[in-house]
Amino acid sequence: VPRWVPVAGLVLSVVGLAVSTYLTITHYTDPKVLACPESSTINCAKVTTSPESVILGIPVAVLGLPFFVIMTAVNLPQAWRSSVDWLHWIRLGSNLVGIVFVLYLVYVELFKVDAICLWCTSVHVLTFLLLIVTLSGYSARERAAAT
Amino acid sequence: VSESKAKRSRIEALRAEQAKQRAAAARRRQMLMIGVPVVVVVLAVVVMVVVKANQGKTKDKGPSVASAQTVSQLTSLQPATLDAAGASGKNALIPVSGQAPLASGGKPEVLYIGAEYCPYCAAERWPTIVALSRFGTFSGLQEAHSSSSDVYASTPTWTFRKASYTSQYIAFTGVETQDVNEKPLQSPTSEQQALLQKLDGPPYVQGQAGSIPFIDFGNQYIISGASYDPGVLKGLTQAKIAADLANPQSGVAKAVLPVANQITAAICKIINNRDVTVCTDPVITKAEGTLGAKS
Repeated sequence: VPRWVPVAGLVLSVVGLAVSTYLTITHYTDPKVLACPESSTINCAKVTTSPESVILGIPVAVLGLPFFVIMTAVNLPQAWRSSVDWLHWIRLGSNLVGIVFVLYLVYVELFKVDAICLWCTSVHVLTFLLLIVTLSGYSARERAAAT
Repeated sequence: VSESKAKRSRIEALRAEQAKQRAAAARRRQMLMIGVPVVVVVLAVVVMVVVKANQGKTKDKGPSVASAQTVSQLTSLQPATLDAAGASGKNALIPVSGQAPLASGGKPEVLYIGAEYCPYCAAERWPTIVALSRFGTFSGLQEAHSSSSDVYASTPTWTFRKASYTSQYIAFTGVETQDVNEKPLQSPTSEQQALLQKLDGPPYVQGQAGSIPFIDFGNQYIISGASYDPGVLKGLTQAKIAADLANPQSGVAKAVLPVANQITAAICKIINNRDVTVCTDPVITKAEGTLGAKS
């Protein structure tokens, strides 16, 4: 795969991991301390303290952690170079599940909670960019396999 | 020989054409593989944003007439009930120094600046009304709720927008700057705005200056923000909260009444403990001693 793919994938995953860790810490301490501007549209505390911020008893903030841990691991350069097929399928599968979950969360923010959380949005954007990186890498691998 | 050369070059040209076609097909596949999911995700988000933008915001209902019974319950709590709740817990009041006393009509003044949409203001009005009712009489209080689209959505409360207060000891001014839908309602005077900027910020209050609710007790003490968790009022009606306040063991009373006692102590201080029965109450005199102490 092109050299930029593992680099970009790893950087995005590590940043995502950092943001998820911050969101998880504030979830278990005081969601109101989230550094976030407040207006009628943007309100992090409203989103992170809403009933929708917990799914099956697990806070959404916490769900981000394992996702980015997995993405960090599978975006290591060694993982991209690996000939183990399932590693590449896990990367693609996790990313697709992640982006579907992101779409659900955007829906919840817009239509259920009626507020946008900037920190959550940054996680959504990171997941979307990771999808582009993953698909680019996947496509490059396919092309290499075909030639 | 020339015929075989021509044949070979035709074959090479054919192969080059086939390779070009294969490369083009691979590029198309690559574009599809990356482009389709990306376009689907972007389209989904755009559709949601457009639908949301066209929905508009549903408006919250404004204040309504208060039940006389509820107002009476709220403003005439028994001293024994208030004493039972004590004044311990988070110290709500912040002492202010070096300011000229705030007064109106020759009486020390309590100035409240808040807004109807604000959930923290919604919470803070309860102990404020309870405490002020020990020194005078409110009229014109209306039942209200904080915004349904903010944190602690639709917290039950009151509004001071049409309220008046009479007391022989103290003056009260309530300014509700915005209604429940965040539309402008009442404007603070330039003096009130100056106090908000000067006292509701560093060194007295950390963070952004001018946040609400802001309550100024004669320029000697201030309250900035909610003094207790507005969540304790969630899902309750004004009548239920007023009834719960009469029971010192209820969760509502345990949250609201200690703050009301601290406010009462602050008012006693700013009126110099004039001959008011409430200011001789042991719970209040004890609270006066700890006003402004770090909790």
